[in-house]
Amino acid sequence: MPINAVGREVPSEINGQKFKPFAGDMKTPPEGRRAGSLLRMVPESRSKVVNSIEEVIKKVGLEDGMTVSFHHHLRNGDFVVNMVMETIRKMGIKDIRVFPTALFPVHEPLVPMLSDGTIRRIEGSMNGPLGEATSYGAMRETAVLRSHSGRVRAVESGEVHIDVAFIAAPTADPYGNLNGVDGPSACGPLAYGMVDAYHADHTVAITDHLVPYPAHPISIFQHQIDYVVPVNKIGDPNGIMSGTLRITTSPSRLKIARYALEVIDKVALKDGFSFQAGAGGISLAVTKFLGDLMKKRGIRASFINGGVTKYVVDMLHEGLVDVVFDGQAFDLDAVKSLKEDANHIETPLAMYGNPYSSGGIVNMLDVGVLGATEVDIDFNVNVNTHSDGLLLHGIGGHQEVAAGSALTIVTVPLYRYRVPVIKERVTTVTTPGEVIDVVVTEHGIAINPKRDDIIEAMRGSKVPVYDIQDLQKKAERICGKPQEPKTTDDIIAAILWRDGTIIDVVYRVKK
Amino acid sequence: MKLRRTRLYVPGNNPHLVENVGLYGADCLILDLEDSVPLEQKFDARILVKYALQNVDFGRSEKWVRINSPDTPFWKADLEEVLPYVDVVNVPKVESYEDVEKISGIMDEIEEKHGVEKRKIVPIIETLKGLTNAREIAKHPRVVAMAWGGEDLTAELGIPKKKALILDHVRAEIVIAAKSQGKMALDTVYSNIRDEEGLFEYARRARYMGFDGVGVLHPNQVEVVHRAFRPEEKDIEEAKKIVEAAEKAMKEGKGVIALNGRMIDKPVLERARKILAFAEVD
Repeated sequence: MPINAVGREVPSEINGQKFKPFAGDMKTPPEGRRAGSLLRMVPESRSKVVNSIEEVIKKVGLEDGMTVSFHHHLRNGDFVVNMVMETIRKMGIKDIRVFPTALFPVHEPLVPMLSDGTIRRIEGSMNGPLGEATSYGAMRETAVLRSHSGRVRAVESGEVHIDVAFIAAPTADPYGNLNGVDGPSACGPLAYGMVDAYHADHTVAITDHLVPYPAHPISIFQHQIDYVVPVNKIGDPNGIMSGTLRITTSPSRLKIARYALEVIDKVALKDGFSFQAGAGGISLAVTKFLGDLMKKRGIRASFINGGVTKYVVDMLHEGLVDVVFDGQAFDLDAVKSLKEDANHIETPLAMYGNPYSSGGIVNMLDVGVLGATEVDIDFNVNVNTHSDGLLLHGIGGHQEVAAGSALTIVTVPLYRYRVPVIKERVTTVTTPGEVIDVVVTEHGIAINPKRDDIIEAMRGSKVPVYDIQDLQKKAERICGKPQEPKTTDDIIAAILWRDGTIIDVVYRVKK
Repeated sequence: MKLRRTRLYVPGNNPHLVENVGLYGADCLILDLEDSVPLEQKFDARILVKYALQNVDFGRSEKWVRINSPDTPFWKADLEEVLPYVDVVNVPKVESYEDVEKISGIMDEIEEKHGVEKRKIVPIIETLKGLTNAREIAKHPRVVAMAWGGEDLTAELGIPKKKALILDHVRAEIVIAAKSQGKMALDTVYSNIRDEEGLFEYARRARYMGFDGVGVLHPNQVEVVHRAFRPEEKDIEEAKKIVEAAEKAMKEGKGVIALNGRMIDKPVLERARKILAFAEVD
């Protein structure tokens, strides 16, 4: 097997499909043209409503071996994936390739379908039980994980062809105009579903809020939707929204946030700068502290990209930022703001960070703050597996935000539950060290040696600066040397870089 | 100059809270064997604290242990386990010079046995009797600072602590007792750990009362208190000039320090040095 640019041995073929080894970010130029979907003509009817999922599956002609797709805007409150897959199972359709943007613990009912012949493989993020089952060898074929933008690229390039896209729609009209800002299962944007609506051969909207024509506002337009299926409920609002997200109260996590803020201040904070941070406890704290500092200094940002939370919305409404780009809303404040504020803009995922496009939002980012399960002394980052080897998380937008941001900061504790987070070698490479600039821990920071400018900017700061090797040794001194995960030689998943090259693989974990 | 602006209390029975204590920049860290440790855990906590003192990175913080009070059966065993590894012994409910002497005697024995230097004591005055004897207690050579607590005192008087007007007098008495002996005076904790503004005001008030520091219960309180104890910018600038002038005079072998035609005498120079210490200017 070839060795790729991060020193990992990777196969050249996965599930019979050829893949190149990772060669570095933006080192593998694209080939070919964008892939298209079937042309189609609708009958002369003013309604696309079909009364059941079973009926719509018959209408679209779903067959053994086909590919079905889903978006994950309903997150851990989603009912649609289970509903559709259960119907497919009952109808006796086999060997399905499931192509979600992400699956969550709520999708555990898919686990038995991995062994009963319904599902041959999943290509998408698997958070929790499905990832765990896959780690122990439950999936017949090899899972393929892509970042948000990598998935868009795969669809646009034809690497993955979607036969039927099932699109959860918090609001729909009978002719297929959809939005996510209204209805009992409101989730905000429908950004993840847009590329599927455009490129799938057949598109089915599933809604629990059917409104008279025309639904408005419109996120996904009628000319891309073939059928609309009303159901009782598409999701549980408690799982769709994360509730009021809380800033971490842990003093050591707050220390990490303070150090990250100091780095941003010294390196990037100026009028018109741009920023992205997630919804984790540390990221929320960084966002909140950054807002406070901007207010104090009278600094205004040009845009925040997200992953939008109340803290980001507050900054928009306090005039601390001109525009919020929204690919995913985490709380009801974000949904409300998206609906009401013209400066809060829903962005199609194709605009996020697809390297094979005319340029994504991430290319305009000054600062990206990201998390990790592990970081190594080459600054490689793992967000997919834990130190025991289990595949428990998706890639999300980690790769493209890291690659695009002028300053990429990874915030991590030095260790978790006495297992080192900073290691000699990460269990799985999700994002290569070449696109990571600063690693921030509660003990101090490490700066990628190739960023002389950041090293220079941090001189005289009170934040302790270490070589990353010293942080790794510190972690090992406190926790001891971590055991390697116990795995077999069977590859259970491939981790693709956003350009579709293989950056790493995940091995089967011994029970 | 040694600063004791913040002394962070860390329960001695919780390894999870102990492991990161060195990160928060508190001037002093108190591993507590007294109030935060229930009776049935006194033994375990002592052992945990002993190993923590030897293995955890305390950064630049002074290592303190609060032992159990002299009227309990625990304090001697506390000292026997931890004394060789601490800088300061924090003794609750001290009521007399004799109390300090009793503890100091046991400390002498342990220090001799382990061949370590003499450790310091910070007594906590918590009763009316202790308050009455505070000026004597402050005279003990091991005592480097005086602290106080209001819980027992207000109970003795039968008044609610939050409304007790007498506590301002108690504060003043602690400052007078300590300062008259050239020792530090340390105010008690501000218990609402979420109220940053309240804490800042509290610490400012302590500073103007004459205290050198306050107790803190949460790492997030450390930075706020240090900010409250930071002198004004104009005082820092003035102090820098005074100290520079003093150094220049010393270099030139002059006995008299002059700044802008004004003579600088010793107390002014001492005050300037203290300001720079609190401003963390080297």
